[in-house]
Amino acid sequence: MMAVAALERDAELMLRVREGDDSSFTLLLESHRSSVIHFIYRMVQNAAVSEELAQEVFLRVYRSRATYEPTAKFTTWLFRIATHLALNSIRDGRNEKGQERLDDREDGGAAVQVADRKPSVEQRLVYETRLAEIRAAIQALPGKQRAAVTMHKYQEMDYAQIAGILGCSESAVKSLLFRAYETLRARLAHMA
Amino acid sequence: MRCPMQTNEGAGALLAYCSGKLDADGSALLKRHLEECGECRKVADAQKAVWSALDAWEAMPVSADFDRNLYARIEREASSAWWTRIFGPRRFAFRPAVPLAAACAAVLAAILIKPVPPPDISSQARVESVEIEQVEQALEDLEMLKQLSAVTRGDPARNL
Repeated sequence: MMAVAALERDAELMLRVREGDDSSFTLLLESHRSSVIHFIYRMVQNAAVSEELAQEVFLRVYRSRATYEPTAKFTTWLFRIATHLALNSIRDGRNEKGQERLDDREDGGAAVQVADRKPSVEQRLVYETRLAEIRAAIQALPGKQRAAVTMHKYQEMDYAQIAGILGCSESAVKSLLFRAYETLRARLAHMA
Repeated sequence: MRCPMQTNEGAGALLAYCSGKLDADGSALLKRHLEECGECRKVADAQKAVWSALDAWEAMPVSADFDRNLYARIEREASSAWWTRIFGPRRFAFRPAVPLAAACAAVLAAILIKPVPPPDISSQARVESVEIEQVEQALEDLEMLKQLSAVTRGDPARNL
């Protein structure tokens, strides 16, 4: 019920943007900025590129405001744009040279904090190794499988919405996901 | 229970179970099956490891400049497309596009369109008066020449 209400709210906000209410665009940006950036980041694995692409996503949303029609969930439309841009970026190979290392992160890999103590060098090394393996496993997936896993796992989208975003059937999405997870199990099961 | 890995539905249920999203009845049913089926148990354990590993991959923080940069791009795009600025929908911030365009058009018109100067009446009148004076002078000169001619001929009719 809450999800339906949120869906209607997003569409309503976008309709207001269509009528010239730019403050509604700001509200949409605040609601979806992080999820779009994080999704693209997990697709392209480059912080600078992911922010640039995420800006392009919202720029296209804003540019399309005059012709917006709520024919699908707002997030379906939003992530369709994001997926399209991310897959193009991957196809163009923009990210291969720029794939960041953990040291390049602005937070310096702060996620490795353990309890309230600073991680030891060994802990940090273990974490970095695991993370590199996870990222490599995701990166090895074909574009659509990568998108499906990212949306399913991190955006917690259901099969129907992923199908709407990727422009395929639900059964096709299930096939994509099952193949992707099978591959990931083969590469990451030893991390248990 | 039929082995979940043999059907798409079952595989989906197993995925949901491993991520903790399967409903209570389904979870109970699957749990019982996993106690008996080694193959499915292996897959379930591996899938849980995958979920756990993926959980460890935290997303990057969003930069503080993101919104500012986005708005700057929107503004740049709006200002570069003049025809959309004038004829398109209202843009992100109010711009006096129409009155500015009208002012520019007026200035251009003022420069390009040269007014026809009005006729100079006083000079025309001056030309006309000069012409009359010249005619009068010419007639006087002619008269004088006649008189002079008469004198030189010794014309008795003329009495100087």
